[in-house]
Amino acid sequence: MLHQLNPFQWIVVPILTLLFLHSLALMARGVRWGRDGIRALLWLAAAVAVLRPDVTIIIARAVGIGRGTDLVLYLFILGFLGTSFYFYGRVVKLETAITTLVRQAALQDKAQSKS
Amino acid sequence: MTPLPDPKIFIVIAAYNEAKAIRTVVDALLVSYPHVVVVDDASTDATSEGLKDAPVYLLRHCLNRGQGAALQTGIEFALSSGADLIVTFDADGQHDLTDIPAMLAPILAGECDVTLGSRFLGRTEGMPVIRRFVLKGGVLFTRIFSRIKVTDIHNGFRAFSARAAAHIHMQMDRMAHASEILDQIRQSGLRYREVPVTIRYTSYSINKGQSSWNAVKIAFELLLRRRLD
Repeated sequence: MLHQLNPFQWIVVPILTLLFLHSLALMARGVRWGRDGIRALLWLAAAVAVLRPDVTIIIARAVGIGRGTDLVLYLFILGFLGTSFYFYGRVVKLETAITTLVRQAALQDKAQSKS
Repeated sequence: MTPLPDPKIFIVIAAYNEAKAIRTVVDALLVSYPHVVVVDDASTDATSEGLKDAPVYLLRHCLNRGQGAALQTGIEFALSSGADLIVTFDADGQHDLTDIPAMLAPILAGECDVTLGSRFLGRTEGMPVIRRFVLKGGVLFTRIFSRIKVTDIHNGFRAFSARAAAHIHMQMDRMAHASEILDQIRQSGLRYREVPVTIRYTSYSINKGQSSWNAVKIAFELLLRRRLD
């Protein structure tokens, strides 16, 4: 099977495998096993999708989408929108926190300079 | 609100890189209003230095957080200093301080809690056509989404009773705070009224002011925030 790999697969699959193993190792440490576990799964799924594109076709057909690439595209769009909103929310919270800090510092400086 | 015999009036100014104009504005205000609060929003010019010897309350943000954030800091300082009435005033000399008594009168008379300066009820001098167009668009936007009837939104000239000011918590740091204030006024059931004021556009204030493109960004930010809340 190895001799059938195209150059893209030769480059990408080892990288994805390493990332998968790295996430597994982190997961084994058990500090943030939930997060690392999800990452390991995603790396594995990506590696499988690159190595065996026919697998995505099987899943796509199973959920009523014609092509495997469409399935990947849809998942990407959903993932992108989800992370965008998530990070927008995070940024807003951070900005608010920074403003609160800056305000407290300004008010405290003023109070100190008066006394 | 019972009329106050000698109300403590605080003028709150948010200043970002206003070294050229702020001193003139502050000096003129100090003649009639002894309590002037300037919040220097981490200016990179000599805004603060220019006020060193002026008898004002000078507060400094160590990071630039935008006009809404700076005004909120000033309002909180004024409240903690025992203000009865708070007026927010622009640093760039666009506002006319002779309008202040008219802004305060309805609040002092107990007729409302907040007054909002309106250039469209009042007068504008030298207003660029495109600015008029964009501001009118903002008014329409606010009427639709905030369901509050005003003729002018992005006017920094406002007056609050201390009780009303305590209800204002500007979370949006940049210019979107103008619409946010209106939302909060409506939500907290504060009585508001628009007061005609004069806005004087100079080449300085036009350059310092918001680019019209910002209006689009503000609208986007407000809509997105509304979805997320």
